[in-house]
Amino acid sequence: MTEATENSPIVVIKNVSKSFLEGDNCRPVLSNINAHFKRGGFHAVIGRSGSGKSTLLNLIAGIDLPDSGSVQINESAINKISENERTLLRRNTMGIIFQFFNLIPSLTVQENVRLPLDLVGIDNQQERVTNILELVGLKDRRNDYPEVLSGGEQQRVAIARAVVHEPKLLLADEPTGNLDYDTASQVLEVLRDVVQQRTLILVTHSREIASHADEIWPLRYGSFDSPESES
Amino acid sequence: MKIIFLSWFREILRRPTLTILSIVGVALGIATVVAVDIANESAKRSFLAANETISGSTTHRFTGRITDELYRHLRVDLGLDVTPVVEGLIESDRSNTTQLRLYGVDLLAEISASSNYAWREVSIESAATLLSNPFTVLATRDTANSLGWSVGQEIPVSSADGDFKLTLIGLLEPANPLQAQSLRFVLLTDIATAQSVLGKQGYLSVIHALFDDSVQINSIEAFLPDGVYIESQIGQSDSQAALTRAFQINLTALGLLAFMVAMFLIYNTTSFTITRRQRHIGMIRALGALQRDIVLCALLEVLIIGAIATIIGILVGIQLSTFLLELVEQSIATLYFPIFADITVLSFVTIVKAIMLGIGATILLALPAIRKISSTAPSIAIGRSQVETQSTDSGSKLFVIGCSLAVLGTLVLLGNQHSIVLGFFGIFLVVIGYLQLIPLMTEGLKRLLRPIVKRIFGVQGVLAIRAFSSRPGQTSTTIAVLCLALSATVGVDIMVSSFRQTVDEWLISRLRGDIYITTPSQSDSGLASVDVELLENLEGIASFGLAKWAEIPDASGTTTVFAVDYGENAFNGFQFKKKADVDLWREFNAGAAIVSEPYAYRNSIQIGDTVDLFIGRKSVQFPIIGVFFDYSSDQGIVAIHRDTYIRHFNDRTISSAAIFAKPETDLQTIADTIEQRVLTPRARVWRNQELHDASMQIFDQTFAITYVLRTLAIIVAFVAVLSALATLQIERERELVVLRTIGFTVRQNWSIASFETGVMGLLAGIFSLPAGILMAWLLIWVIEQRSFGWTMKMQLDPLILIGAVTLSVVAALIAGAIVTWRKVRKVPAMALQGMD
Repeated sequence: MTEATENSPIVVIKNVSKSFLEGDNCRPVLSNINAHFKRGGFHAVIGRSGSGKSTLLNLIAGIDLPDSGSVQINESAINKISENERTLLRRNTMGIIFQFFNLIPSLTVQENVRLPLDLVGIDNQQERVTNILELVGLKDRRNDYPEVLSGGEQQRVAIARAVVHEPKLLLADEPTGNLDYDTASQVLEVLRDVVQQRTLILVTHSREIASHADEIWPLRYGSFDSPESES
Repeated sequence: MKIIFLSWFREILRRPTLTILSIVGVALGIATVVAVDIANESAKRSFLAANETISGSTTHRFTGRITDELYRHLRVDLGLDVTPVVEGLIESDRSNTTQLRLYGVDLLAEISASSNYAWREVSIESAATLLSNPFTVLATRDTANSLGWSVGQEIPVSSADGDFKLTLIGLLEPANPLQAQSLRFVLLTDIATAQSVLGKQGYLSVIHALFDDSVQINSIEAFLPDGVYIESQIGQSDSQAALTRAFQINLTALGLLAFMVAMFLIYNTTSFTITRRQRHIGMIRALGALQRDIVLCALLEVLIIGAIATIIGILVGIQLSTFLLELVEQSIATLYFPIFADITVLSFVTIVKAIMLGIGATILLALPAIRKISSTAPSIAIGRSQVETQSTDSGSKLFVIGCSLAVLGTLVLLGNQHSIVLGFFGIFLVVIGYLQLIPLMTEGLKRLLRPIVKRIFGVQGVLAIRAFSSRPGQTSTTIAVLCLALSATVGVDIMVSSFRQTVDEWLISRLRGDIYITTPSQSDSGLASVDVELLENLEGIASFGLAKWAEIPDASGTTTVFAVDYGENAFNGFQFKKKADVDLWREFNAGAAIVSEPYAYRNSIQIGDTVDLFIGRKSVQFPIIGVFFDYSSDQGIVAIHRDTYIRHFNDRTISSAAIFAKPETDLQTIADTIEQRVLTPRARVWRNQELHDASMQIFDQTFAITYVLRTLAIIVAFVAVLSALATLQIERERELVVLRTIGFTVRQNWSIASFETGVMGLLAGIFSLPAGILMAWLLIWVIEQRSFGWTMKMQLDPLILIGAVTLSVVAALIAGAIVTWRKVRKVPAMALQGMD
């Protein structure tokens, strides 16, 4: 793994294609796409349903692999490293927020948040967990199980879990797609609060949410249009 | 790692039913194997212990027509370390007739002998009382208690020689539980009393001997009178133990069959347990958990399931074994000799076997699922369906594997025609091979069913069979588990019913007489001559025939000879498997022999060979002119004409008589008359039908254990289906709730769930039929022939086949009802809450 420089992009996507088998048919989702996401800041990937947004995010997270091309995180091609190395890279570098929260139902709120710390092997977990839960406004519900939380609360737990181990890259897949307008605004606010020095790549179909980003990448029919800068 | 483990095991607590079902299934499988093992081992130990306790640690024994004089010569003149025994069965007439073993010994000789008999501890006082007071006996405290006897009490008993009264003068104190068990229902007495009660005055049953290396066996053999033989005690025990081996192998195989069903259950359940965590695993993998972490959690889970199930299985197995042991005793007593196996022997080997199966097999069978789920990309795991989709692709691979296994199994079966173990192994391979075809067959039937169901039941019907598409791997495995258990049922049922029908037909053909008189097999004297005269003079009798059962020495031991003269009509009742191209009846009268099928099988005898029997030191050859079907003994018998027997062996005693009544005669009147006037002690008079029914009753007793083990396999399969459906229904919970939300009634949801499980049961039932018929054919062709030397005609009873399919559908419906009862009734809003 090479050492990334301060100015180099955190994510580089080169000629990436991905397709899925549906029965006997092969459905292309991403076709030869290229992109580089600068270190720091809020990047939004916008596109309609089925445009390949979530697939792209899975490829960046290394939880899926491209059919061709390469995905580099910190100048390390994740499709060239082993499954174990990919997991370690994800564990140490990234935090992921899913549209359907994907909280572990058998763990309490604070146990869910503690999980990444446990995996990375960080001590002094309780203080960090308490701080982050305070930041997302769920300190009082730390002993509750996810099933008794509202959608917005569950998503805030998911955000807390994604950032508690202070990853450099935060990936969010439609984090507000499952929430009403007010709750979505609150979640975005929390997201903004916790991002700060990190890089956030968020995929969404909502132009309004994307408008909060520093850079927008429109994804259409499996290919990127030129990025739009909001600032 | 700590939190991953925590989340993993909390998941078990969230849905404990599946884990409990897994444990129950595995435990039941282990319990069956443990119980069969204990029953087998206990029966074997009891038999060996009984031999050891009663005959002591002797090296040789003299058998045949032994006189008191021979014993005196061996002991006094030659100074050999020998002890005589007169033994036989008697009956106690107390409320329920109990069979007892009367054992007459020379107590003075026993006390001075070097071998360690159980009654070495008999006090001098007791020995003196036995010697000085005729008709006195000793028994163990256990025997006395269970028969309600007390010391000093007179006990009425009857033997082949008449009715007697014996006095219990003391109690034997066995040195250990095994000895106590071996001496159960044994009455120890002086040799003279035993000879009087058993009608063996002047004769001994056996002489036990303890020879050291200096004793020349050849020189002893040289002076033995005709009809007396010396044999190694060790060899004798071995040959008797070998008698039960075939039976025990059959039993073990049935136990393993139940375990095989349990193995499928384990495979099914662990696969379900692991794959249902697909989403959970996907989530924690996405957060950074390594494959290794998942493998560790999954292995730990199955290890815990296996360990708990093993402990429960061993405990339940011990309990179950006492019940099985009774049935084993019954079967062994019916087939071979009476045993009293009260002590259950849990050997170290059984425990190791249980652990290996419970923990080892559970982990081994879980490995494919663990490997699959841990290596699946997190995105796929979160996305649900694709892991399963991959398993449908393997249907054709399984087809190839299945065909290969079946071919291999067939080659094993054809390769060795005599080994029972290889026979079972071959059957195992063929059946496992067949089960591999089920995914493809299920897929084929599903495609066939879909348009029909759609046309008849509309969308609801399509929803019901959707489970086959959404979880094809799991559905196929569930069907395979049920199919395996059912095919075992069908196989065993067809085998037993074919056997039963064959024996029934054989009895009808063989029992040509209208009335039979039989004497106890222990009786040396047989039917009294006055009773033969009675038959000659009785009205209503057209003719009668006489027969003698005798144990005649041959080159390798003894042969059971049936010397019969029931007339030509009765001779025609022999059904021949092979026969010489001669006038059989004429040749039989002239001195030829016919042999039973097991005899021919065990001795590899053909038509034209001879049976060599010893008369004193000389052997006589009887040419074989036919091989007849016979199911009365698995060791085989040789039948010769009674005149031939008398000519060679000079023995006119009679074991039984067959009476042929005149037409239109009331058989009951003749039977009653004979019963009233017959003088032979304990002779029994049977009408044809009674003898037939009694024989069939013995047959049913012998196979009682088979039915029990088969039922166990069904119970294990039921648990398997229950756990499989429980998992499938968890998968469908959301769908059922959504259906309720959009307007499906509880009844409609219930119908969908029941239809789905019913179709699974139906498919399993249908698939089990060819497998069951194949298994029955193999059992009949391979196992019964190899174990007992019996040929059976396979009879396909449609009721068995219909019953299996019905059982399958009903079992699946009940399992489905249990699983879905609460789920379909849930209030939709409540059910939707908390669904991730």
